[in-house]
Amino acid sequence: MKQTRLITLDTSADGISLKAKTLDEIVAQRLPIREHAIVLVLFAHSQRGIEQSLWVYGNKGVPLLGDANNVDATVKTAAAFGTDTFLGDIASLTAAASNGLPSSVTRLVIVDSDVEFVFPKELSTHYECTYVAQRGSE
Amino acid sequence: MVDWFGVCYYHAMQYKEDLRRLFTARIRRLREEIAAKETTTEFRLMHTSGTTNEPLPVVYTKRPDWNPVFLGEGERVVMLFGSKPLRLDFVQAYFDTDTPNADVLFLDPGMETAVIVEAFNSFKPTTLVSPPTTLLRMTKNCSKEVLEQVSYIVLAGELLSEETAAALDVRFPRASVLNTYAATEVGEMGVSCPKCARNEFHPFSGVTFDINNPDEAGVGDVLVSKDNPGGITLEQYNIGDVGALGEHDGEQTIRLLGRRGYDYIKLAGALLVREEFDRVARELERYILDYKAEVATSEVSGAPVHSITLFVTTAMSVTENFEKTVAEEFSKRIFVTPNSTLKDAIRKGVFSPLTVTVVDRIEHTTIKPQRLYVVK
Repeated sequence: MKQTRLITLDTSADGISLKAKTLDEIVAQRLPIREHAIVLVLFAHSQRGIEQSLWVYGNKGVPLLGDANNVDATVKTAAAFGTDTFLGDIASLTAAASNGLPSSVTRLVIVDSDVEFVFPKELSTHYECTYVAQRGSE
Repeated sequence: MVDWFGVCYYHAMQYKEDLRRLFTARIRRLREEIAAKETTTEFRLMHTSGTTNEPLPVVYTKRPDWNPVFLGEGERVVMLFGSKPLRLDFVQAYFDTDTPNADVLFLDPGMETAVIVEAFNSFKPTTLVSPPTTLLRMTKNCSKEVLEQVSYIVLAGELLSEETAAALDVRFPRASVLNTYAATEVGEMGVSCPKCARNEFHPFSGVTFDINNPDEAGVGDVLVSKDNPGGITLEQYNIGDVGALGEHDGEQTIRLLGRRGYDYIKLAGALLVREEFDRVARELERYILDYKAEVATSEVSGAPVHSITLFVTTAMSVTENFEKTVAEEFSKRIFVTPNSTLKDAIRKGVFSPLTVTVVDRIEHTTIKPQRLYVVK
């Protein structure tokens, strides 16, 4: 039986490719986020943000999917909701941190393709930080 | 079990105490469920686009199901609206609904044309959900054969102009076009029928419209009341639109005419805010004594192109390059999205280059002193 699928679009030098994922496939990812977290999800690639938000729902959390083009509004809203976890990519973390992360956030989970990434000390000393390197995340 | 939502209005709408109370109650419930480690999958967190003032946080506790008309009837759905949380909510609606079992693809309004064209060619959508001008702009260069396969279009998020409606008919000759009325903080409110005038909507079940302080033509602020299965009714919420009540087939309708106030205009994902114009005009005060801006939308090769004309008075002696210089300085300073200037939007072809015209005197209307923009 056919299921509803989320289609994601990846771009590369060779052009674009479309990938279809069912909800079960999305939720099956492994991410180090606790159950029952309120998660600010912020990715430069908006389709990645939708996919990771579905993952949060599937793992007993509640996501606030933020807009990487409007980080200020996203961070303000996240503070109103009392988000405790930030889930995003390096670029979005940098943008959100420069706006000041909500004081309720205690945990940063970054998913990106840069295997060399190290959390800046000013973040790693204040937050519980986890980096997940994924190949070809975009 | 369907429950109800709460909305928080921090600044602009503090008089809506009932909405703030609901928001507080829903957030409390969310935190209680989190603390008790109960299921929280029914909560939806989002925020509005901020056109009423600042972005407003919104929380739903199992929002009422989306009306099926918003989900379309095709197998391959492309959604083009910008709000990320709303996109997530739509995806959830598809996953929550047994039918239709669709493949759903979201495309960003800011994507490069070549990517959009390739995505359309590969995906071959049958259903499109989008604000009307965004839809026209993003499909401008897509192949005719692909667009002719589109059978169903759901419009939302903007008033539909006569020119845009005509252009959509040409662009999508085989598609049924459904115009809808919805807002992030309220959800879906109404839908047009074939007998409706443009931007006229029948309320969905449980929704009623009133007009606040109607003028002699019956035009005034649109107030929305909405029954919710949780037992709490949203009463006479001022949604920020201007309109008049209508009726046909024995049913009340709402005819939308525009947004309240003229201190901003929302076009193709850009937000032209009066305060932002004022800020840049102040920065350029050596050039500009007073100004008035007009916005117009025209169709170029089947796609809407927006243009701004800035009428300015100046104390400077006007040289040959004066208007060009002011246009250049204004375009690179004014932001039309949080991260894009007018110059960026011009480069993408969303706006034509800013036109500056020096005049002797600015005629501000005496009826609405804040009215700086006119949509032709």
